[in-house]
Amino acid sequence: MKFEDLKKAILAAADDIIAREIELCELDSFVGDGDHGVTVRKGYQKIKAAIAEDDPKTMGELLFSAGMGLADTAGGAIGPILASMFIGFSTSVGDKSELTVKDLAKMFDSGLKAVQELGGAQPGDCTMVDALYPFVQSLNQADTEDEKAALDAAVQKAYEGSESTKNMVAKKGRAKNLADKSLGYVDAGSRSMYYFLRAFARSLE
Amino acid sequence: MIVKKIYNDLDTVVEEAMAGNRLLASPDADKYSVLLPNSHITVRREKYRKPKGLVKVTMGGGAGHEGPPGIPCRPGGFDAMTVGDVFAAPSARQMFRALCEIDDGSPIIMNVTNHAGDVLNAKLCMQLAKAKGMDVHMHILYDDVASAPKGREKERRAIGGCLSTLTIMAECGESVEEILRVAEKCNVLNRSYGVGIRSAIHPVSGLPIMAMPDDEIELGIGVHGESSGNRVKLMRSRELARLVCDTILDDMPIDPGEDIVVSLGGLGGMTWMELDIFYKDLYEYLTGEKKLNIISHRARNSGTQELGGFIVSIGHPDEEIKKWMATPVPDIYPKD
Repeated sequence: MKFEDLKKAILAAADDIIAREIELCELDSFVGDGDHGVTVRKGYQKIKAAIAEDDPKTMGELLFSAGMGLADTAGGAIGPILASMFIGFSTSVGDKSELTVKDLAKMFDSGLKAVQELGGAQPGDCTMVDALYPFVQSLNQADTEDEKAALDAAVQKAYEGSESTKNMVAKKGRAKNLADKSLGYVDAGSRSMYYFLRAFARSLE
Repeated sequence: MIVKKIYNDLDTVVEEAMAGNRLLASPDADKYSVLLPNSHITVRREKYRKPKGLVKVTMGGGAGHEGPPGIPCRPGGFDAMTVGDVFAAPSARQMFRALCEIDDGSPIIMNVTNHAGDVLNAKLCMQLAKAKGMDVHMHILYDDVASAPKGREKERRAIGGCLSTLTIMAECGESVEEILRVAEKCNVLNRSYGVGIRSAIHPVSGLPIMAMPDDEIELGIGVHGESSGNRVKLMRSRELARLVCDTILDDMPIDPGEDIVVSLGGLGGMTWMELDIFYKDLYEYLTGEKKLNIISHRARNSGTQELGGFIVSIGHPDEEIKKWMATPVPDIYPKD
């Protein structure tokens, strides 16, 4: 994966999330306050705007620019948490000009660690980490050099992870105030993370 | 909704207040510091910046707590200060911009009050700064006895606290490890407790903060009037002083004869008559029945709009902290 591929992947993933605003709000309305779609739509619009404005030339700069764009979001935790994921990506990618499957695994792992450091969520807490964590695990264990194949397999794990939040009691975010009422519903944050990862992988076709 | 306050535009209250506060604090505000364009960031002027190698110290927090005209960024004070919106933490991007402005490769300590939004944005700012290779550290202030039980002190909010030890150590060239060690000791040796008396109006939403009946007060409020639910009947000053001191001293017992530092912070809607009376009662109880020795005290009345209430802080400095309290700013800056 080279600079242009990465840029295309991030912009495609952003467009995918932006188009799912209503769907994600509906999902969030069961247990949250129903604004997840709006929050992530605004966040990914900021990413697009930041990339357009900064016009980054390297993969590290591109990811840093995306993170900085989100770091301006006031209120709520989702903006800063997504920002930290991109900053984590950026730190890992540094000045590399091409990403192998191993590099991608490291990049997503670094993003996951940044998210966990910022928000404190562990797998099983019913958050976006429940989609991202199995995705990273799958990439780490990939025994292929083919990026598309490795990402597709990981996306399947992200989907299963997001689905598994139906059986979880929320421990983070606003949904935690509802305690076991979150049982039976997919966590909206894990679902938007899954959509992001899926659109990222699909852009490689 | 009519917001009965003096302003021009609710969208620019923070910027306009910052501008006016600087004018009132000038010419010194202008001499020592500069407000970065299109921002809420104040930094020291080039001439008064700490030499390379000395630890830089920043502070951040929400607006709406404006104090009397002052100069936070100058020799002996902070290197940069970032303000958010009304009662809201500055964004990570703003804090990061402040760090970029003062970074010279030396370590930077970001002071963060322990409120969810402040900590989250500061952590993100740390990640941004580390990605850019900065040597950045975080010091979280916590001191509010009411916000978490004993044993879980680090979960407590910051409603008072003391930073002058930390800034003077940085001026004197102490290492970042030493400064952070003593700063944490200041957390451990300081406790605060808030009391709410009269409601205020949020300057942007126009909604009341901490509305309550005329004959009740609330013990253990936050610095934005966050409710503790602990309502009691209005009592006389002497009785309230005893209650507040006992709450703090139960949490942090201090032996008779020990030196303490007392701070009384009115939240904006206290009269000085009330604060004077209440301080007298604090003083009499602490020095009389409790036999403590007040070596330093401070009172102010600006914190949270016109909120009637106050924060009492008691510090129990050890010899090391007392030494730093008595240390003057080193003579390393231009005179004029």
